[in-house]
Amino acid sequence: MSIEERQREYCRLFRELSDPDSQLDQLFSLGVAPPEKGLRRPENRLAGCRTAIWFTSWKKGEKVFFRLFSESLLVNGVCAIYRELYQGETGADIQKNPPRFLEEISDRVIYPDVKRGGLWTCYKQLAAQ
Amino acid sequence: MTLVSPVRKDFPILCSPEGEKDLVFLDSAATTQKPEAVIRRISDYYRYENTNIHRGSYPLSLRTEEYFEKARRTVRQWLGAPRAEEILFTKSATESLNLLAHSVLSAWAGPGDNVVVTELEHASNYYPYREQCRVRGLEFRVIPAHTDGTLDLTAAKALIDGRTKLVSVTAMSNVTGFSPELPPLIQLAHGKGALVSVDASQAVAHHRINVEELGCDFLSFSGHKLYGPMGCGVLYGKAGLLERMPAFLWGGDMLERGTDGSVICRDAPGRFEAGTPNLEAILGLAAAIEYLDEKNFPILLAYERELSEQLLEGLKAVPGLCLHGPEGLSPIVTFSMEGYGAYDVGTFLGAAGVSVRCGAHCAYPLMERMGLESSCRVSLGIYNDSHDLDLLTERLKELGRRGYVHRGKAAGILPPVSGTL
Repeated sequence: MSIEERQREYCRLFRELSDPDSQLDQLFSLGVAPPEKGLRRPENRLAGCRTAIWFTSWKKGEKVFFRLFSESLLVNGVCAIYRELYQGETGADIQKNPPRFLEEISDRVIYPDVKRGGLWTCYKQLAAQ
Repeated sequence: MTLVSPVRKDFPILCSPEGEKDLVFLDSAATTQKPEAVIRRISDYYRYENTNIHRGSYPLSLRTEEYFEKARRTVRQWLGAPRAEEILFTKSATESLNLLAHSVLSAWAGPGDNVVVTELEHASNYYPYREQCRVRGLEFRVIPAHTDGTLDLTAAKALIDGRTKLVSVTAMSNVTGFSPELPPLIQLAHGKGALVSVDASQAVAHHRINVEELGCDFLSFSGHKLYGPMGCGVLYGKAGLLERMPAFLWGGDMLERGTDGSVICRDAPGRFEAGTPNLEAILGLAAAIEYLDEKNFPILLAYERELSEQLLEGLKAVPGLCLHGPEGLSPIVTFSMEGYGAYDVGTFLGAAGVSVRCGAHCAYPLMERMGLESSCRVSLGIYNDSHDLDLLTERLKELGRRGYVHRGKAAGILPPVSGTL
Protein backbone atom coordinates (compact mmCIF):
# COMPACT_ATOMS: atom_id res chain seq x y z
CA MET A 1 0.00 0.00 0.00
CA SER A 2 1.20 3.56 -0.64
CA ILE A 3 1.56 6.17 2.08
CA GLU A 4 -1.62 7.76 0.78
CA GLU A 5 -3.59 4.54 1.06
CA ARG A 6 -2.28 3.74 4.53
CA GLN A 7 -3.05 7.27 5.68
CA ARG A 8 -6.56 7.06 4.25
CA GLU A 9 -7.17 4.05 6.50
CA TYR A 10 -6.10 6.01 9.55
CA CYS A 11 -8.22 8.99 8.59
CA ARG A 12 -11.21 6.68 8.26
CA LEU A 13 -10.41 5.02 11.59
CA PHE A 14 -10.29 8.27 13.56
CA ARG A 15 -13.31 9.66 11.79
CA GLU A 16 -15.27 6.57 12.86
CA LEU A 17 -14.01 6.95 16.43
CA SER A 18 -15.81 10.25 16.70
CA ASP A 19 -15.73 10.72 20.50
CA PRO A 20 -12.52 11.75 22.23
CA ASP A 21 -12.62 8.84 24.69
CA SER A 22 -12.53 6.28 21.87
CA GLN A 23 -9.73 8.12 20.14
CA LEU A 24 -7.81 8.21 23.43
CA ASP A 25 -8.22 4.45 23.73
CA GLN A 26 -7.03 3.88 20.18
CA LEU A 27 -3.91 5.99 20.62
CA PHE A 28 -3.15 4.42 24.01
CA SER A 29 -3.26 1.01 22.35
CA LEU A 30 -0.94 2.11 19.57
CA GLY A 31 1.37 3.95 21.92
CA VAL A 32 2.38 1.15 24.25
CA ALA A 33 5.95 0.45 23.32
CA PRO A 34 9.21 0.11 25.22
CA PRO A 35 11.33 3.26 25.17
CA GLU A 36 13.83 3.44 22.34
CA LYS A 37 17.27 2.70 23.76
CA GLY A 38 19.72 5.55 23.54
CA LEU A 39 17.27 7.96 21.97
CA ARG A 40 16.50 9.97 25.08
CA ARG A 41 19.43 12.36 24.88
CA PRO A 42 19.26 16.16 25.06
CA GLU A 43 20.43 16.60 21.47
CA ASN A 44 17.50 14.49 20.24
CA ARG A 45 14.83 16.29 22.24
CA LEU A 46 12.48 18.52 20.28
CA ALA A 47 11.61 21.92 21.74
CA GLY A 48 8.31 22.10 23.57
CA CYS A 49 6.83 22.03 27.03
CA ARG A 50 3.60 20.12 26.91
CA THR A 51 5.11 16.74 26.13
CA ALA A 52 8.62 15.53 25.40
CA ILE A 53 9.49 14.05 22.00
CA TRP A 54 12.88 12.61 21.08
CA PHE A 55 13.65 12.21 17.41
CA THR A 56 16.48 11.33 15.11
CA SER A 57 16.50 10.53 11.40
CA TRP A 58 18.91 9.42 8.69
CA LYS A 59 18.95 8.34 5.08
CA LYS A 60 19.99 5.11 3.41
CA GLY A 61 20.17 5.87 -0.26
CA GLU A 62 16.90 7.63 -1.02
CA LYS A 63 15.01 6.10 1.87
CA VAL A 64 14.38 7.89 5.14
CA PHE A 65 14.57 6.15 8.48
CA PHE A 66 13.91 7.54 11.91
CA ARG A 67 13.53 6.83 15.58
CA LEU A 68 10.82 8.62 17.45
CA PHE A 69 9.62 8.39 21.02
CA SER A 70 7.55 10.39 23.45
CA GLU A 71 7.03 10.12 27.19
CA SER A 72 3.32 10.44 26.38
CA LEU A 73 1.52 7.25 25.36
CA LEU A 74 -0.92 9.27 23.28
CA VAL A 75 1.82 11.01 21.32
CA ASN A 76 3.62 7.66 21.07
CA GLY A 77 0.47 6.40 19.42
CA VAL A 78 0.87 9.09 16.78
CA CYS A 79 4.56 8.17 16.52
CA ALA A 80 3.53 4.57 15.79
CA ILE A 81 1.37 5.83 12.93
CA TYR A 82 4.25 7.96 11.65
CA ARG A 83 6.42 4.82 11.60
CA GLU A 84 3.79 2.93 9.66
CA LEU A 85 3.37 5.74 7.15
CA TYR A 86 6.86 7.08 6.67
CA GLN A 87 9.50 4.57 7.79
CA GLY A 88 11.67 3.60 4.82
CA GLU A 89 9.90 5.91 2.35
CA THR A 90 11.60 8.56 0.20
CA GLY A 91 11.69 12.21 1.22
CA ALA A 92 9.75 13.10 -1.92
CA ASP A 93 6.91 10.69 -1.07
CA ILE A 94 6.85 11.87 2.53
CA GLN A 95 6.62 15.45 1.31
CA LYS A 96 3.57 14.61 -0.82
CA ASN A 97 1.82 13.07 2.19
CA PRO A 98 1.67 15.38 5.21
CA PRO A 99 0.06 13.80 8.30
CA ARG A 100 -3.53 14.70 7.45
CA PHE A 101 -4.79 12.01 9.82
CA LEU A 102 -3.97 14.44 12.65
CA GLU A 103 -6.93 16.56 11.53
CA GLU A 104 -9.23 13.63 12.27
CA ILE A 105 -7.94 13.35 15.82
CA SER A 106 -9.82 15.61 18.20
CA ASP A 107 -7.92 18.67 19.47
CA ARG A 108 -8.98 17.49 22.91
CA VAL A 109 -6.91 14.34 22.44
CA ILE A 110 -3.83 15.70 20.70
CA TYR A 111 -3.71 19.41 21.46
CA PRO A 112 -3.16 21.86 18.60
CA ASP A 113 0.20 23.00 19.92
CA VAL A 114 1.42 19.39 20.01
CA LYS A 115 0.14 18.83 16.46
CA ARG A 116 1.69 22.09 15.22
CA GLY A 117 4.79 21.76 17.41
CA GLY A 118 6.81 18.59 17.88
CA LEU A 119 4.77 16.36 15.58
CA TRP A 120 4.86 18.82 12.71
CA THR A 121 8.59 19.42 13.29
CA CYS A 122 9.23 15.66 12.98
CA TYR A 123 7.29 15.50 9.77
CA LYS A 124 9.05 18.54 8.26
CA GLN A 125 12.45 17.05 9.04
CA LEU A 126 11.48 13.75 7.45
CA ALA A 127 10.10 15.48 4.38
CA ALA A 128 13.24 17.55 4.07
CA GLN A 129 15.56 14.53 3.95
CA MET B 1 -17.18 13.11 55.16
CA THR B 2 -18.65 15.03 52.24
CA LEU B 3 -17.23 18.52 52.04
CA VAL B 4 -19.35 21.15 50.37
CA SER B 5 -17.87 24.52 49.45
CA PRO B 6 -19.54 27.42 51.25
CA VAL B 7 -18.89 29.68 48.26
CA ARG B 8 -19.17 27.57 45.10
CA LYS B 9 -22.51 29.13 44.21
CA ASP B 10 -20.80 32.53 43.97
CA PHE B 11 -18.73 31.41 40.96
CA PRO B 12 -20.81 31.56 37.78
CA ILE B 13 -18.51 29.40 35.65
CA LEU B 14 -19.06 26.53 38.08
CA CYS B 15 -22.79 26.91 38.46
CA SER B 16 -24.58 28.70 35.71
CA PRO B 17 -26.11 26.94 32.70
CA GLU B 18 -23.99 29.17 30.46
CA GLY B 19 -20.82 28.09 32.24
CA GLU B 20 -18.73 25.06 31.37
CA LYS B 21 -20.91 22.01 31.94
CA ASP B 22 -19.73 19.66 34.69
CA LEU B 23 -16.46 21.54 35.10
CA VAL B 24 -14.21 20.12 37.78
CA PHE B 25 -11.64 22.89 38.03
CA LEU B 26 -8.51 21.75 39.82
CA ASP B 27 -6.04 24.18 38.29
CA SER B 28 -6.38 27.21 40.59
CA ALA B 29 -2.61 27.54 40.79
CA ALA B 30 -2.71 28.54 37.12
CA THR B 31 -5.56 30.95 37.69
CA THR B 32 -8.48 31.07 40.06
CA GLN B 33 -12.09 31.32 39.01
CA LYS B 34 -13.83 34.62 39.73
CA PRO B 35 -16.81 35.26 41.97
CA GLU B 36 -19.79 37.22 40.68
CA ALA B 37 -18.74 40.15 42.89
CA VAL B 38 -15.50 40.54 40.92
CA ILE B 39 -17.15 40.09 37.53
CA ARG B 40 -19.80 42.64 38.43
CA ARG B 41 -17.20 45.15 39.64
CA ILE B 42 -15.38 44.97 36.32
CA SER B 43 -18.50 45.32 34.23
CA ASP B 44 -19.78 48.14 36.48
CA TYR B 45 -16.52 49.99 35.92
CA TYR B 46 -17.04 49.91 32.18
CA ARG B 47 -20.76 50.56 32.42
CA TYR B 48 -20.69 53.51 34.78
CA GLU B 49 -17.18 54.71 35.63
CA ASN B 50 -14.80 54.29 32.74
CA THR B 51 -12.29 57.06 32.45
CA ASN B 52 -8.59 57.45 32.81
CA ILE B 53 -7.01 58.69 36.02
CA HIS B 54 -4.47 61.44 36.82
CA ARG B 55 -5.46 63.23 33.64
CA GLY B 56 -8.99 64.53 33.67
CA SER B 57 -10.27 67.45 35.74
CA TYR B 58 -13.87 66.37 35.79
CA PRO B 59 -15.88 64.54 38.43
CA LEU B 60 -15.94 61.15 36.68
CA SER B 61 -12.16 61.02 36.52
CA LEU B 62 -11.71 62.21 40.09
CA ARG B 63 -14.15 59.60 41.34
CA THR B 64 -12.34 56.81 39.49
CA GLU B 65 -9.10 58.07 40.96
CA GLU B 66 -10.59 57.73 44.42
CA TYR B 67 -11.61 54.15 43.67
CA PHE B 68 -8.11 53.46 42.40
CA GLU B 69 -6.47 54.76 45.57
CA LYS B 70 -9.05 52.96 47.68
CA ALA B 71 -8.02 49.74 45.92
CA ARG B 72 -4.43 50.49 46.90
CA ARG B 73 -5.49 50.90 50.52
CA THR B 74 -7.45 47.65 50.34
CA VAL B 75 -4.36 45.76 49.20
CA ARG B 76 -2.26 47.54 51.85
CA GLN B 77 -4.63 46.36 54.52
CA TRP B 78 -4.68 42.81 53.10
CA LEU B 79 -0.90 42.57 53.27
CA GLY B 80 -0.55 44.42 56.56
CA ALA B 81 1.76 46.96 54.95
CA PRO B 82 2.31 50.15 56.98
CA ARG B 83 1.66 52.61 54.14
CA ALA B 84 -0.37 52.66 50.96
CA GLU B 85 2.60 54.19 49.09
CA GLU B 86 4.36 50.86 49.59
CA ILE B 87 1.86 49.12 47.30
CA LEU B 88 2.58 49.28 43.58
CA PHE B 89 0.27 48.00 40.87
CA THR B 90 1.79 46.24 37.88
CA LYS B 91 0.37 43.96 35.19
CA SER B 92 1.36 40.74 36.94
CA ALA B 93 3.75 39.15 39.40
CA THR B 94 6.07 38.55 36.46
CA GLU B 95 6.21 42.28 35.79
CA SER B 96 6.68 42.98 39.51
CA LEU B 97 9.62 40.60 39.64
CA ASN B 98 11.19 42.01 36.49
CA LEU B 99 10.79 45.50 37.97
CA LEU B 100 12.54 44.36 41.13
CA ALA B 101 15.34 42.65 39.28
CA HIS B 102 15.99 45.79 37.24
CA SER B 103 15.47 48.48 39.83
CA VAL B 104 16.96 46.85 42.94
CA LEU B 105 20.10 45.82 41.13
CA SER B 106 20.38 49.23 39.46
CA ALA B 107 20.22 50.90 42.84
CA TRP B 108 22.48 48.64 44.86
CA ALA B 109 24.46 46.09 42.92
CA GLY B 110 27.87 46.45 41.32
CA PRO B 111 30.74 44.27 40.10
CA GLY B 112 31.57 41.45 42.49
CA ASP B 113 28.07 41.35 43.97
CA ASN B 114 25.66 38.44 43.75
CA VAL B 115 21.96 37.64 43.73
CA VAL B 116 20.59 34.48 45.34
CA VAL B 117 17.44 32.63 44.31
CA THR B 118 16.40 29.01 44.88
CA GLU B 119 15.71 25.95 42.77
CA LEU B 120 12.10 26.08 43.95
CA GLU B 121 11.35 29.15 41.88
CA HIS B 122 8.84 29.64 39.11
CA ALA B 123 10.52 30.92 35.95
CA SER B 124 9.30 34.45 36.70
CA ASN B 125 11.28 34.53 39.94
CA TYR B 126 14.40 32.97 38.44
CA TYR B 127 15.13 34.15 34.93
CA PRO B 128 14.68 37.93 35.44
CA TYR B 129 17.50 37.76 38.00
CA ARG B 130 19.61 35.44 35.91
CA GLU B 131 19.33 37.78 32.98
CA GLN B 132 20.00 40.93 35.01
CA CYS B 133 23.07 39.25 36.54
CA ARG B 134 24.31 38.34 33.08
CA VAL B 135 23.83 41.86 31.75
CA ARG B 136 25.37 43.54 34.81
CA GLY B 137 28.21 41.09 35.37
CA LEU B 138 26.90 39.93 38.75
CA GLU B 139 27.08 36.41 40.12
CA PHE B 140 23.85 34.44 39.99
CA ARG B 141 23.62 31.92 42.83
CA VAL B 142 20.98 29.26 43.36
CA ILE B 143 20.15 27.57 46.66
CA PRO B 144 19.60 23.93 45.75
CA ALA B 145 16.48 21.97 46.57
CA HIS B 146 16.46 18.41 47.83
CA THR B 147 15.10 15.73 45.51
CA ASP B 148 11.83 15.77 47.43
CA GLY B 149 11.31 19.43 46.59
CA THR B 150 12.25 20.92 49.95
CA LEU B 151 14.92 23.60 50.33
CA ASP B 152 18.48 23.00 51.46
CA LEU B 153 18.80 25.73 54.07
CA THR B 154 22.32 24.58 54.98
CA ALA B 155 23.44 25.46 51.48
CA ALA B 156 21.80 28.87 51.86
CA LYS B 157 24.27 29.77 54.62
CA ALA B 158 27.17 29.19 52.25
CA LEU B 159 25.63 31.08 49.33
CA ILE B 160 24.38 34.23 51.08
CA ASP B 161 27.35 36.38 52.00
CA GLY B 162 28.46 39.97 52.40
CA ARG B 163 28.28 40.60 48.62
CA THR B 164 24.72 39.33 48.30
CA LYS B 165 22.46 42.22 47.37
CA LEU B 166 19.17 40.42 47.04
CA VAL B 167 17.71 37.06 47.99
CA SER B 168 14.52 36.21 46.14
CA VAL B 169 12.49 33.23 47.30
CA THR B 170 9.05 31.78 46.84
CA ALA B 171 6.66 31.55 49.77
CA MET B 172 5.04 28.47 48.21
CA SER B 173 6.17 26.24 45.36
CA ASN B 174 3.77 26.20 42.43
CA VAL B 175 4.75 22.56 41.82
CA THR B 176 4.53 20.89 45.23
CA GLY B 177 2.92 23.51 47.45
CA PHE B 178 5.97 23.34 49.71
CA SER B 179 6.51 26.50 51.76
CA PRO B 180 10.13 27.12 52.80
CA GLU B 181 10.73 28.50 56.26
CA LEU B 182 11.07 32.16 55.44
CA PRO B 183 11.88 33.78 58.81
CA PRO B 184 15.32 32.11 59.24
CA LEU B 185 16.14 32.77 55.58
CA ILE B 186 15.14 36.42 55.89
CA GLN B 187 17.13 36.74 59.10
CA LEU B 188 20.17 35.17 57.47
CA ALA B 189 19.94 37.48 54.47
CA HIS B 190 19.44 40.62 56.53
CA GLY B 191 22.32 39.60 58.76
CA LYS B 192 24.56 39.73 55.70
CA GLY B 193 23.11 43.04 54.54
CA ALA B 194 21.01 41.56 51.72
CA LEU B 195 17.49 42.56 50.81
CA VAL B 196 14.79 39.89 50.58
CA SER B 197 12.04 39.58 48.03
CA VAL B 198 9.23 37.04 48.51
CA ASP B 199 7.22 35.67 45.60
CA ALA B 200 3.81 35.12 47.15
CA SER B 201 1.99 34.29 43.92
CA GLN B 202 0.76 30.92 45.22
CA ALA B 203 0.90 31.60 48.95
CA VAL B 204 -1.39 34.63 48.86
CA ALA B 205 -4.48 32.46 48.22
CA HIS B 206 -3.63 29.85 50.86
CA HIS B 207 -2.20 31.85 53.76
CA ARG B 208 -2.92 35.20 55.33
CA ILE B 209 0.30 37.13 54.82
CA ASN B 210 1.51 40.06 56.90
CA VAL B 211 4.57 41.70 55.38
CA GLU B 212 5.56 43.48 58.60
CA GLU B 213 5.50 40.26 60.60
CA LEU B 214 7.29 38.43 57.83
CA GLY B 215 9.96 41.10 57.68
CA CYS B 216 10.60 40.87 53.94
CA ASP B 217 11.67 43.94 52.00
CA PHE B 218 9.57 43.18 48.93
CA LEU B 219 6.67 40.90 48.15
CA SER B 220 4.80 40.27 44.94
CA PHE B 221 1.76 38.40 43.72
CA SER B 222 -0.68 38.29 40.82
CA GLY B 223 -4.27 39.32 41.38
CA HIS B 224 -5.65 36.52 39.25
CA LYS B 225 -4.32 33.94 41.71
CA LEU B 226 -6.34 35.55 44.52
CA TYR B 227 -9.74 35.24 42.83
CA GLY B 228 -9.19 38.60 41.12
CA PRO B 229 -8.94 39.30 37.41
CA MET B 230 -5.95 38.83 35.14
CA GLY B 231 -3.86 41.85 34.31
CA CYS B 232 -3.10 43.14 37.79
CA GLY B 233 0.00 42.41 39.81
CA VAL B 234 1.05 43.78 43.17
CA LEU B 235 4.48 44.68 44.43
CA TYR B 236 4.98 45.64 48.05
CA GLY B 237 8.23 47.43 48.87
CA LYS B 238 9.43 49.20 51.99
CA ALA B 239 9.05 52.92 51.46
CA GLY B 240 12.66 53.73 52.23
CA LEU B 241 13.79 51.28 49.56
CA LEU B 242 11.34 52.28 46.83
CA GLU B 243 12.47 55.92 47.19
CA ARG B 244 15.98 54.94 46.16
CA MET B 245 15.04 52.70 43.25
CA PRO B 246 15.00 53.94 39.66
CA ALA B 247 11.97 53.61 37.43
CA PHE B 248 11.52 50.45 35.38
CA LEU B 249 9.05 51.62 32.76
CA TRP B 250 9.17 55.17 31.44
CA GLY B 251 6.38 57.22 29.96
CA GLY B 252 3.23 58.99 30.91
CA ASP B 253 2.04 59.39 34.47
CA MET B 254 5.35 58.62 36.20
CA LEU B 255 6.86 62.05 35.51
CA GLU B 256 6.16 65.52 36.86
CA ARG B 257 7.66 68.98 36.70
CA GLY B 258 10.33 69.69 39.29
CA THR B 259 10.78 72.97 41.14
CA ASP B 260 13.23 74.15 38.49
CA GLY B 261 10.78 73.30 35.73
CA SER B 262 12.63 70.19 34.60
CA VAL B 263 10.87 66.85 34.16
CA ILE B 264 11.56 64.44 36.99
CA CYS B 265 10.27 61.09 38.19
CA ARG B 266 7.44 61.05 40.62
CA ASP B 267 7.87 59.48 44.04
CA ALA B 268 6.70 55.93 44.68
CA PRO B 269 4.28 54.45 43.91
CA GLY B 270 3.71 56.70 40.89
CA ARG B 271 7.29 56.34 39.66
CA PHE B 272 6.67 52.66 39.05
CA GLU B 273 3.22 52.96 37.47
CA ALA B 274 3.90 54.34 34.02
CA GLY B 275 1.13 54.48 31.47
CA THR B 276 -2.54 53.81 31.88
CA PRO B 277 -3.09 51.26 34.64
CA ASN B 278 -5.32 48.25 34.11
CA LEU B 279 -8.01 49.94 36.15
CA GLU B 280 -10.72 47.36 35.82
CA ALA B 281 -8.31 44.64 36.97
CA ILE B 282 -7.14 46.71 39.95
CA LEU B 283 -10.70 47.45 41.00
CA GLY B 284 -11.51 43.77 40.41
CA LEU B 285 -8.67 42.73 42.69
CA ALA B 286 -9.95 45.03 45.43
CA ALA B 287 -13.40 43.49 44.96
CA ALA B 288 -11.88 40.01 45.30
CA ILE B 289 -10.20 40.96 48.57
CA GLU B 290 -13.42 42.51 49.89
CA TYR B 291 -15.25 39.34 48.89
CA LEU B 292 -12.76 37.12 50.72
CA ASP B 293 -12.97 39.34 53.81
CA GLU B 294 -16.75 39.23 53.71
CA LYS B 295 -16.73 35.42 53.43
CA ASN B 296 -14.24 35.17 56.30
CA PHE B 297 -10.96 34.17 54.72
CA PRO B 298 -9.70 32.16 57.74
CA ILE B 299 -12.80 29.94 57.56
CA LEU B 300 -12.26 29.42 53.86
CA LEU B 301 -8.65 28.46 54.53
CA ALA B 302 -9.77 25.98 57.20
CA TYR B 303 -12.19 24.47 54.68
CA GLU B 304 -9.39 24.26 52.12
CA ARG B 305 -7.19 22.42 54.63
CA GLU B 306 -9.88 19.79 55.14
CA LEU B 307 -10.21 19.45 51.40
CA SER B 308 -6.42 19.07 51.07
CA GLU B 309 -6.58 16.17 53.51
CA GLN B 310 -9.29 14.50 51.46
CA LEU B 311 -7.34 15.13 48.26
CA LEU B 312 -4.25 13.43 49.65
CA GLU B 313 -6.22 10.45 50.93
CA GLY B 314 -7.99 10.08 47.61
CA LEU B 315 -4.80 10.23 45.54
CA LYS B 316 -3.00 7.75 47.79
CA ALA B 317 -5.79 5.27 47.10
CA VAL B 318 -5.27 5.33 43.31
CA PRO B 319 -3.27 2.28 42.17
CA GLY B 320 -0.24 3.20 40.10
CA LEU B 321 -0.23 6.85 41.25
CA CYS B 322 3.04 8.25 42.52
CA LEU B 323 3.03 11.44 44.61
CA HIS B 324 5.99 13.79 44.29
CA GLY B 325 7.18 16.37 46.74
CA PRO B 326 7.46 16.46 50.50
CA GLU B 327 5.08 14.74 52.90
CA GLY B 328 2.29 16.76 54.39
CA LEU B 329 -0.94 18.46 53.46
CA SER B 330 -1.01 20.97 50.68
CA PRO B 331 -3.64 22.47 48.38
CA ILE B 332 -1.13 21.92 45.56
CA VAL B 333 -0.12 18.35 44.82
CA THR B 334 2.00 16.96 42.02
CA PHE B 335 1.95 13.34 40.86
CA SER B 336 2.45 10.95 37.99
CA MET B 337 0.70 7.74 36.89
CA GLU B 338 2.68 4.59 36.18
CA GLY B 339 2.84 3.82 32.51
CA TYR B 340 1.54 7.21 31.38
CA GLY B 341 3.05 10.56 30.56
CA ALA B 342 1.72 13.61 32.35
CA TYR B 343 0.15 14.79 29.10
CA ASP B 344 -1.81 11.54 28.86
CA VAL B 345 -3.20 11.94 32.36
CA GLY B 346 -4.19 15.57 31.79
CA THR B 347 -5.85 14.81 28.47
CA PHE B 348 -7.71 11.79 29.85
CA LEU B 349 -8.94 13.82 32.82
CA GLY B 350 -9.81 16.77 30.59
CA ALA B 351 -11.97 14.59 28.36
CA ALA B 352 -14.15 14.02 31.44
CA GLY B 353 -14.24 17.69 32.42
CA VAL B 354 -11.53 17.43 35.10
CA SER B 355 -9.03 20.27 34.68
CA VAL B 356 -5.50 19.82 35.98
CA ARG B 357 -2.15 21.07 34.76
CA CYS B 358 0.45 18.80 33.23
CA GLY B 359 3.96 19.64 32.18
CA ALA B 360 6.96 21.30 33.75
CA HIS B 361 4.93 24.06 35.44
CA CYS B 362 7.42 26.76 34.39
CA ALA B 363 9.66 25.42 37.16
CA TYR B 364 12.48 23.81 35.17
CA PRO B 365 15.24 23.79 37.85
CA LEU B 366 12.94 22.17 40.42
CA MET B 367 11.60 19.58 37.98
CA GLU B 368 15.15 18.67 37.05
CA ARG B 369 16.17 18.40 40.71
CA MET B 370 13.20 16.13 41.39
CA GLY B 371 14.12 14.00 38.37
CA LEU B 372 10.86 14.70 36.58
CA GLU B 373 10.43 15.40 32.87
CA SER B 374 6.88 16.49 33.60
CA SER B 375 4.15 15.84 36.15
CA CYS B 376 0.46 16.38 36.80
CA ARG B 377 -0.58 19.01 39.26
CA VAL B 378 -3.84 19.34 41.15
CA SER B 379 -4.41 22.69 42.85
CA LEU B 380 -7.40 23.50 44.98
CA GLY B 381 -9.54 26.59 45.31
CA ILE B 382 -12.18 27.59 47.81
CA TYR B 383 -14.91 26.45 45.40
CA ASN B 384 -13.80 22.84 45.17
CA ASP B 385 -15.59 20.11 47.09
CA SER B 386 -15.67 16.38 47.76
CA HIS B 387 -17.59 15.77 44.55
CA ASP B 388 -14.72 17.28 42.54
CA LEU B 389 -12.18 15.10 44.32
CA ASP B 390 -14.29 11.96 43.86
CA LEU B 391 -14.54 12.58 40.12
CA LEU B 392 -10.80 13.15 39.95
CA THR B 393 -9.88 9.94 41.75
CA GLU B 394 -12.47 7.85 39.90
CA ARG B 395 -11.18 9.03 36.56
CA LEU B 396 -7.59 8.34 37.62
CA LYS B 397 -8.54 4.83 38.72
CA GLU B 398 -10.23 4.32 35.35
CA LEU B 399 -7.05 5.40 33.60
CA GLY B 400 -5.08 2.98 35.70
CA ARG B 401 -7.48 0.17 34.77
CA ARG B 402 -7.09 0.94 31.06
CA GLY B 403 -3.32 1.06 31.44
CA TYR B 404 -3.36 -2.49 32.72
CA VAL B 405 -5.37 -3.58 29.77
CA HIS B 406 -3.05 -1.91 27.30
CA ARG B 407 0.19 -2.96 28.93
CA GLY B 408 -1.17 -6.48 29.23
CA LYS B 409 -2.10 -6.61 25.58
CA ALA B 410 1.29 -5.32 24.55
CA ALA B 411 2.93 -8.09 26.55
CA GLY B 412 0.56 -10.66 25.08
CA ILE B 413 -1.22 -11.14 28.42
CA LEU B 414 -4.96 -10.84 28.48
CA PRO B 415 -6.64 -9.55 31.65
CA PRO B 416 -8.68 -12.15 33.57
CA VAL B 417 -12.34 -12.24 32.63
CA SER B 418 -14.47 -11.30 35.59
CA GLY B 419 -16.02 -14.31 37.38
CA THR B 420 -13.53 -16.86 36.07
CA LEU B 421 -10.15 -18.09 37.27
